[in-house]
Amino acid sequence: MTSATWRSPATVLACCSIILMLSLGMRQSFGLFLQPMSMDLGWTRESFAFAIALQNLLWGALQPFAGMIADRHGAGRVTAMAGLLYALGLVLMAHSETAVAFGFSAGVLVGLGLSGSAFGVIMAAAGRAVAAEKRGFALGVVGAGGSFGQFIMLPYGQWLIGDFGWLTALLVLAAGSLLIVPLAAGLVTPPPADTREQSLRQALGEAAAHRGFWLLTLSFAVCGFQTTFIMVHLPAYLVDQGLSPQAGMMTLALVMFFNIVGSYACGALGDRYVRKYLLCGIYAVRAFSIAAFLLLPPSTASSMLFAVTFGLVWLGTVPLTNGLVAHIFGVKYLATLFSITFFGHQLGSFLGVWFGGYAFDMTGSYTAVWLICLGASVVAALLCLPIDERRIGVPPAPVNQPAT
Amino acid sequence: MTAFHHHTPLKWMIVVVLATLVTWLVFRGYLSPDFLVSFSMYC
Repeated sequence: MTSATWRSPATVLACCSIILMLSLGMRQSFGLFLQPMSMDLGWTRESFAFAIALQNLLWGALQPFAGMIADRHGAGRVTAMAGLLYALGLVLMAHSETAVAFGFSAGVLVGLGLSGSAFGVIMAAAGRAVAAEKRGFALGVVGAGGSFGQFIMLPYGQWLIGDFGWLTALLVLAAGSLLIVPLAAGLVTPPPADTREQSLRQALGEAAAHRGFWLLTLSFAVCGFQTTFIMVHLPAYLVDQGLSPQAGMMTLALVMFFNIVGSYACGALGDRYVRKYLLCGIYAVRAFSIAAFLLLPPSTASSMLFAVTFGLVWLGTVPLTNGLVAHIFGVKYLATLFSITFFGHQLGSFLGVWFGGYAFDMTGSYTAVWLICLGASVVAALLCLPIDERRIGVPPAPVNQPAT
Repeated sequence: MTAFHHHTPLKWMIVVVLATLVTWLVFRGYLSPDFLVSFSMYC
């Protein structure tokens, strides 16, 4: 067996799934460190929040560049370096004595780590490892892996902090993130057969001129706005509505759990059905889910119903958007192009977190933001419909000429 | 290994049991008092 053949599609998908589980999962738990670290080190909440905001900003802004390097030199090297930076960031977080040091470790280093080990590079590596007709399934599997990481990391992180203290917990997470480095060796794959001869500049120009690329980016920004607003503000909203904190946590847990199922299902359905209609359906389901949640009297049952329906379409947009970019533009610059659309997602996320807090401070309730989520969902569903899904660079099939 | 490979229903039963156990542990973690306190600070 040659060194090139051990990287079968199944091996690549397994490595991608575990890497995404680690990188997305660990960042999910960072919020749990706010209270113990701020208390022990005398920092303000704003210092911590600034570091996390910087991390998200750098992740989104640098991911296209990480994608460019991955498209040119291979995902394995980029992800291995990202794993090292992630681990270094976590170790320095544990030993930060000032807010500036924490901002550098948690914000800059972990942000750099995420840019090379999260959706942009990893989804592209998975998409390139399989044939086009199985790409949806592959992206669904990898997406489910990332979703599983997000599901388990919150209570796992809390268990580490509770039993070992925040410093040891960060070091344990750092050790876990080092696993990304050997797993990255599984991502080096030979170029797929369906690549066109094209420079990066040509690919970027082609995407910029394609209306569907911008429609996808805009709808993805709506996704980021909704999911991040709900993730951060939903438990507090439910407590404001008179529900118990346990109901808030169970709602969040159900969203995360059904996201695992939904991520895989949405990806796999992309192989069978028109992706833009599936995306439209996802945003439509979100709109109905939010509308029902707002119209029904607040109760544990209505929040559970919302959690199940919204959870099933939580991150299903990721494999479908990635699959569409791969189908229309090919896979040669998939990491670059998908990372640009994902930057839109991150801009939406930033707005979702910031505006959620701002609107609450201004009006005393989240109603305005919920209505914006509802309206944006309808708009995003409509934005998906005019996307031209035809693959660029592939000539149309010849029409059979009648015999004369 | 060959015998294990042929017992497909057994393999899937083990996967389902492990998945159920992990899911139950994780849900229990979400409802633990320490997690509720910590996450309320985060929010």
